[in-house]
Amino acid sequence: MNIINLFITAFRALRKNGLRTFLTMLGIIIGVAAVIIMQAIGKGSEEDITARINSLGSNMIIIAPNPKIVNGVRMGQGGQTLQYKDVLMIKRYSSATKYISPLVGVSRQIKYGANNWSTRISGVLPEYFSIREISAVEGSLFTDEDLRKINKVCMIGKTVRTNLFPDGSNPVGKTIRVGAIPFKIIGVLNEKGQSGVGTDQDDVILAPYTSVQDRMVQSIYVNVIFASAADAQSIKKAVSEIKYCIRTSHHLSPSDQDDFTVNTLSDIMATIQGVSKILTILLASVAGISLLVGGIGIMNIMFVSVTERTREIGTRLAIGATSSDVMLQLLIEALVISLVAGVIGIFSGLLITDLITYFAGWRTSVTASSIIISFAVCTVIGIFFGWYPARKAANLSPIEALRYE
Amino acid sequence: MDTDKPIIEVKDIWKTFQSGGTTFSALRGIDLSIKANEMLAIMGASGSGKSTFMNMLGCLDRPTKGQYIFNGVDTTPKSNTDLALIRRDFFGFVFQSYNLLPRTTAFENVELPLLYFGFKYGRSQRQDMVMAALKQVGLEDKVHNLTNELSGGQQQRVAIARAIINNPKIIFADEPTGNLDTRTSFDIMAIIQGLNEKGTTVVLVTHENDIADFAKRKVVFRDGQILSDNINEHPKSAAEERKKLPELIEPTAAT
Ligand SMILES: Nc1ncnc2c1ncn2[C@@H]1O[C@H](COP(=O)(O)OP(=O)(O)OP(=O)(O)O)[C@@H](O)[C@H]1O
Ligand SMILES: [Mg+2]
Repeated sequence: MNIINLFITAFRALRKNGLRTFLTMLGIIIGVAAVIIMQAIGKGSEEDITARINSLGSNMIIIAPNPKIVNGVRMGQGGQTLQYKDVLMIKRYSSATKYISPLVGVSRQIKYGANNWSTRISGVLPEYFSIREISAVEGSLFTDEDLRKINKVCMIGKTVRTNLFPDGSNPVGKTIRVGAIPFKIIGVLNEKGQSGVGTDQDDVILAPYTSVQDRMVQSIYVNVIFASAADAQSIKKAVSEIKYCIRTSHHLSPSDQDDFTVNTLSDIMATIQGVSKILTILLASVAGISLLVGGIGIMNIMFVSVTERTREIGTRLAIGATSSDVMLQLLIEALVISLVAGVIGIFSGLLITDLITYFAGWRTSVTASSIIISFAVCTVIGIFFGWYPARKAANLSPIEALRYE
Repeated sequence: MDTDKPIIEVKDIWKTFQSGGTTFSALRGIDLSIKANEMLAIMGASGSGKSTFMNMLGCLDRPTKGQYIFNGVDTTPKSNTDLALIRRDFFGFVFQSYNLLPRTTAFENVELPLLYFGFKYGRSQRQDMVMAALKQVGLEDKVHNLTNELSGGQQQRVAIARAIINNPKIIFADEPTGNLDTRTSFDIMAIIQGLNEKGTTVVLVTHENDIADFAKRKVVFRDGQILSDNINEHPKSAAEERKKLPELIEPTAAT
């Protein structure tokens, strides 16, 4: 039989047992829909996380202290190794680094009138605004002059604002107490939302580095240094220059390990993507099991179908069908079941994905590859699980098949 | 074709079945040759081996021992696929229980053998051939009826149309009238006789003498062997006999 007639014959045979065929398809439909949905959710959340991490500032480089290790012994605690002089070193010698700012922070009780709020005040350089893409929605940002004069000025994030000024009055120009020290609010920061790791990026107070360093911390060490590369291509170069500068500044000999770590956003992203990959694999195995069960369902129904149609097969053999005709016919029936189920599964997957986005508000993203993979998997399932029943039918002798009761 | 040369030649054919630890020979050394355009009736008691023999002639089964030469070619060493192609190209089968595909139309049933010729027959060519075959058996008005909407006689006519669609050399009919009343049986036999008159060889299995009388030659089986093999000098015409049958009269209250 030619291929067109084989497909027509298969469709007709399956339509005759419409309900049974549909029930057989369910396993595959569910499996394929699950693949599409899971992939869409996985990809969507990955994109979501990426977008959130990018909100931290693109091309950002974070330098954090590591405990100093001398001759294999940890020196000091809490990793106080980074100093302002490291910042100056990088500023002077790293050409790929565009902006750089140290950050010193302390937690303090903040007061305005009767309102209290406990948060961190961070001292930074104005360059920090460029690194983190910070701007003022009200008032202004502090300047180099504020830094030089060690002015007690600050900018507050939205969370701090709502807690200290619950009546919604304009905070710009007001003076708050940070611990015992009065700071004048000169600006309100643009909203940043949650970071990729779930911290509230709006619960901040930013002040000139010198003000926090001199008046509150009184230590030569900084908590962390933020930098940014000129563009995405120069991140790698900036990282190696920064490492070299700090090692030089710290007088580390070649055998010493770094007493600091340099992270880029792509490192952090890779970590998060690794986690979501594990999740995807887990979900994919659930879908895989469902497809396997669906495949076994197809095999089962094909066996039933071969047994039911033994006499029909005998008749076909009598009028000139060869065993390969019979084999192909049943194989194509199995293939049609799994492919039709695949198509239904893909469409239900797309529909459910849309519903999830609509009702739950989750970000989802369907990729072409998941659809192609679904088709490929269905083809393989159809052939694999159709093979044995088809073989059984093809091996029937015409006379035994005709005599079958 | 040289009509004296046998189209079928069997030599010392044996068929032995093994079931439940015992062996049973349904055919025990049959020799027979059939010439082209013969119409042969195989007769005999139930269990005498008629169907077993015919299935072998139709290449549906293989002998345990012996040789079967069809059209000058020894079929014994042929592969299953080769036998399938012989059936496809040269044979037509008519079964006692019609063996039509369930829930398909008369048209689809008759078309079926053509589909196994790959791309040889196009859609419109198939259409023409099927219509011609259905016309030949007088069913042109039932083309698109499902088989379960047809009477027994009509179903058997569909089966005959299916058997002749490939223009076979031989038609094998195993009790083609076994499930039909006399009137319908004669109609069916008239069609088969008509095919034989046009040159098709017919091998017919029956245990009814009335039916065998339409054949040109009668072979009688007993216990897997040939008991007698006679030429029927004056085969009856099924069409003539059909006319002689009294028409059914509706019983009425008056009579
Ligand atoms: N597959 C088989 N296994 C075992 N025995 C078989 C098989 N097929 C046929 N037989 C036996 O072979 C013998 C001949 O059977 P066959 O069907 O040829 O008889 P028949 O002459 O056609 O009879 P009927 O007129 O009843 O159709 C029977 O005794 C039957 O039991
Ligand atoms: Mg029989």
